[in-house]
Amino acid sequence: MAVAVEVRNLRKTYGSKWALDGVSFTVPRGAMLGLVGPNGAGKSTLLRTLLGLVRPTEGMVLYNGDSLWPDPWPLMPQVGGFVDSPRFFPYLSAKENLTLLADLSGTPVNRVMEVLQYVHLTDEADRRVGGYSHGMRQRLGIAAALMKRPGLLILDEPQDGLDPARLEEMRRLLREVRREFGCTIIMSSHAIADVERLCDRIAVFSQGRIRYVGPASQLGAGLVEDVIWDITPVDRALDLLQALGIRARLLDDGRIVAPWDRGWDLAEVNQALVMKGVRIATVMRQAESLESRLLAYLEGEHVDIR
Amino acid sequence: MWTYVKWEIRRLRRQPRFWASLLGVAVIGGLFAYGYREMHGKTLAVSSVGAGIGNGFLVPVLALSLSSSILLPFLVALFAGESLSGERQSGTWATLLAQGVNPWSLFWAKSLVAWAYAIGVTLLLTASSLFGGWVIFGLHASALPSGVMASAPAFWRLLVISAAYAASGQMVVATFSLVVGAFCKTSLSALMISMGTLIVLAMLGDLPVWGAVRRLFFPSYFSRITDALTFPTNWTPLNHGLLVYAIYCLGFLALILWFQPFRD
Repeated sequence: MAVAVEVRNLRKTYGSKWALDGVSFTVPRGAMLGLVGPNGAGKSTLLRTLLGLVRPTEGMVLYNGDSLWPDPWPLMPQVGGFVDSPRFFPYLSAKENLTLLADLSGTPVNRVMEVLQYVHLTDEADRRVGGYSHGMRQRLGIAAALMKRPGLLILDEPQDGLDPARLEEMRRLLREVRREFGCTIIMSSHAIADVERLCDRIAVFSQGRIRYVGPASQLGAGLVEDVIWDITPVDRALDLLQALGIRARLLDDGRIVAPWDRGWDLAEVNQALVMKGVRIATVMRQAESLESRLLAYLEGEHVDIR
Repeated sequence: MWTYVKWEIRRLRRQPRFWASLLGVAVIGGLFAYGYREMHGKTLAVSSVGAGIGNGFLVPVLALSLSSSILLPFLVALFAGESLSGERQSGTWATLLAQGVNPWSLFWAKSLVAWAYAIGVTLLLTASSLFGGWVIFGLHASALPSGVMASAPAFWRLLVISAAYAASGQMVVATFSLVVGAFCKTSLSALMISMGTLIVLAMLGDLPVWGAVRRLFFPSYFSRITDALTFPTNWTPLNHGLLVYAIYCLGFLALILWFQPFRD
């Protein structure tokens, strides 16, 4: 399959801090790549670089074989999208904002109503954007990006801050955009389940580096079961489990979780804990989720399988 | 380019503070006329006023001389500095660039509109103060403190030169503020830096030891109002001032061309 986007050894520094540290990946044409990782991992910096907003310190970005930098402007008609949340002139209506963007970027103005209809904002077209809800602005951002009919769509957390109903609407919209416009999509998200559902490739980011990039199915391959203890005292139990060579960690709710790789006997471990004066309220096994696999990647527990 | 200018003007027109600034300048022009009437005839530092020349032609000259270093630069720095840094702060700059809008065309359009604003507010102040002067004193020939009799056409010429010179000065302020705004991420920091620099320069220029330096590098046609009342017009300081202004503008634009601070 032809490559739409190729990123080679991309680096970006802010002072002495590396925001991107040797990022390389390719995205086939028509594919949808989801970027996941904690805040400050470098996702937005990467998207900004791909959108021509941030000049990289080193490395290359190629769109259909053409280099984006040092002068991104000639390639920008092929690319649409937004970073952070889409921003518009609050004192202009949605229609005026899109007309302005179309006029300045040389896009036919007759596409304005077309894309507004596509994102279901026709009824609100003459309302000032300052009065729009977050979800409406996200949709308007997608409308602005689609106006150019780009080959590559870059979206930074398009589902961020949406209520469940709007979230489902956004998922549907993204699927439609991909199907009808046939564009390659790169999106970032904190909702790992969404990325898993929407994207056929995932890139896991941490500290400016890609820890994993590849098909979502491969990342989820070989998922194991987790053992979860509701246990007191937690600190002591955690120390004991780690002393037994079990990669246990504390969950936000105060319980302890460890991947159960069948290399140790759960009954024996529980007995050892009780013998050391630890009180076990409950213990349960559950299938490892993709989210917990990603967390393990981000904590460096797994080797890079790129 | 004109599409960019059209949208920049349209954007500016939608901002209430744009209209408020124009209204403010128009009112202040009228207030200068009232103040001139209150002051004239008294022993004042401004000799033409103190000498009691009750002539409406002198009101805009006084208004321009007093406003050129604080009021007009503040407004011009506010709008010119904000035009780039404000868009950066609000995120619309990123929206425009991501849409494939050429940053250079945007910058030149904003520069043209900022210069037009600088010229516009200067002319508005001139017009409103002249109107106030005409209402209170009328427009006629007068004898100057030097004893020279200045005709009404000579006063008109003086007024055109004064307004043009003041407008040129404000265009330098606009260019400086645009450049500062291009490097700043918030409109407040752009305003603080550009206004702070202008105030420091004005203060330095007032120190006697800096007098010669100021005359060479920071020519202020209105700092010595008697210069403006020279008949016939002394073109040497005017040309010197305009030359220095032009060099400043070119220097500021060279900074932009060199650093191209449109992308992070």
